[in-house]
Amino acid sequence: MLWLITIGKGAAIGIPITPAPSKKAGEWRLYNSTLNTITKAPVLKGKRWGEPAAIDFSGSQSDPASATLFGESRDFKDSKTVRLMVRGSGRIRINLYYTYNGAYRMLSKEVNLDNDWILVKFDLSKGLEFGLGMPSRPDVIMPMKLVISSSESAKMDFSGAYIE
Amino acid sequence: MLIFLIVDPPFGTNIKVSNWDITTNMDQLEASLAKSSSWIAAHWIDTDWSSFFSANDFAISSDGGATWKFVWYLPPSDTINCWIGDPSVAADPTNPNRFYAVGMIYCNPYTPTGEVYFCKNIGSRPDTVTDWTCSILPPNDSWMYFKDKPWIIALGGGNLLVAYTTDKYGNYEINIARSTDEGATWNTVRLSDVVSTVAYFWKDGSTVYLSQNNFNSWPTYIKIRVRKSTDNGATWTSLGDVVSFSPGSSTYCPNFNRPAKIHNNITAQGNNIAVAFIKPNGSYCNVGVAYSTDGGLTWNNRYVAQTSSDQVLPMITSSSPSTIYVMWQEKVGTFWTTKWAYSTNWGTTFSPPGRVSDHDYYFNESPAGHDYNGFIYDGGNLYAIWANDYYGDDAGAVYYARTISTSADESLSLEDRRTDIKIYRVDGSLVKGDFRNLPTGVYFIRSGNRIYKRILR
Repeated sequence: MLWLITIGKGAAIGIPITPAPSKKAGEWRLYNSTLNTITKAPVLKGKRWGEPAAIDFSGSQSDPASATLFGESRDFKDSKTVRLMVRGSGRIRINLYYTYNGAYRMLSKEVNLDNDWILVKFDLSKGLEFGLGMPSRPDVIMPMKLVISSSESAKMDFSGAYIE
Repeated sequence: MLIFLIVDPPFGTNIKVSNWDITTNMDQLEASLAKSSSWIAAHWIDTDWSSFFSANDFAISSDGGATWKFVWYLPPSDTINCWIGDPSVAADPTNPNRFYAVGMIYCNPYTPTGEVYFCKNIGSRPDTVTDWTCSILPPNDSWMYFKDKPWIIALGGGNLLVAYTTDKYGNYEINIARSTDEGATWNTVRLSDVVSTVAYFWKDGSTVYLSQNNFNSWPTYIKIRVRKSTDNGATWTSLGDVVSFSPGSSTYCPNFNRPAKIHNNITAQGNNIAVAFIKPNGSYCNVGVAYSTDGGLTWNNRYVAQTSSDQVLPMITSSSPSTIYVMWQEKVGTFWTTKWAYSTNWGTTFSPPGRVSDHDYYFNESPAGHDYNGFIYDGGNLYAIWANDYYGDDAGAVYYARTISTSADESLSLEDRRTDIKIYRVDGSLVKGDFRNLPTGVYFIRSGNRIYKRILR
């Protein structure tokens, strides 16, 4: 037997909402880090995302530092790669968050910085959806972000990222 | 003498909690469940609205779940730019009339950011909307960051923990909002070493456990990390990554278009800890359990009921240092069924799966949400709630069921059995011959008009 009890819907509870403006493409958000623009940096093929910058990280294991570069919120299924170059000292992790085929995905690289420029390449088709965003709501696309973080003190020059 | 222990009496009649004529194709999703000695509360996503996308609904029962009262719903106040989801409810273990609820509010389409809401009833009537108050969970960052997938536990004595994922510090990681005064004030604990999107709690005595997914080796591996706290969540000790598996080419399942493989859920009893997760079986999603019997020093894992079909949303609970219960939703043919299984040796082996839902049902395999269900052991019984169930409806509903035993610790001696007793195996076949030589397993016993389910150890 299936129990069917008519209960109707309850009463609404409201919470005021006062959203802050979103970050725009090319803007940075810093945590335990400082950023200065630089003029000399390698140029790669593709559309540049973010200005070349020098970033100092003051992170620790319990309180990692980060610099987040925001990008366009769109589906990147028509793009193949994101490439960038970095140099400096210390160890960093670069996580790329983006939407591909309607799903929010992440790719990750760990880099030991060196005095020479190191190429970091992300193949956008390789990332997997990892559970944020709303795949059933194509009108809602999570932000593209490049999160560079460090659990130690690190100094990094960043070429800008190039989307191709 | 043969001794039968009742630990898993069968589930009773299913009760439709979202009990109105839901608009065609509109789903009720992500049902969470909490129980006190006086009430059972449910909190879930309701997409059955014409003027906005979703609200989170709260309903409560004072009669063990036989009937439910829809108390309130929380819609976004900005119905154009915001929407609601991820409801989680908790009962205060030291006040049977106090419940807490959390969920997320997304705002700013195209670059969504979020906040977590926190609700509690301030008097003694959780079944009355005027008894409830809701606010944004501190720290209220005014939607500057993304916050998602909150999960709440009430530890007693005013101690509350809410885990959620946020990009406030760069990567998506689990933060814990912690209150020691029933939510009047909060501080934040940052679990900074793991990229992670969802975490769950379990309390065992004075120890709180947390499981979370770990994307540090992504996308090659999904890992699940376990932590514990002995100071009500103020500080946490990592027990390491307890299981690691390849997600394959997708975190979705062939018949469930959500990233089911990021799921985890935890239980613990003494030195025994167990985590339910999705263990890929070829391309299919199957339910796995990682288990430790030495306080988390070493771990094993296994399928619960390996099958060439999809099993999703495993929820785990336990009643003793030996007994684990797991519930999930499984595709069987073209329909879905809510199932469960138990282990009496802390995960080493599991019973054949049994039914929680008393019916098969259609299921929206591309739901807007649907990342967990509710499953509780309390006082000798199991309490289950699940969603996205199209049984008898053209929309996805929330259903509830509980076991019907009066005590899971009751014992029965077959030496005292009635002459009209019949014993059936789990597959329904009648046991004939000498009952005294039955192999270890699960049996249904019919005595007169009553049916019991027993484990033979």
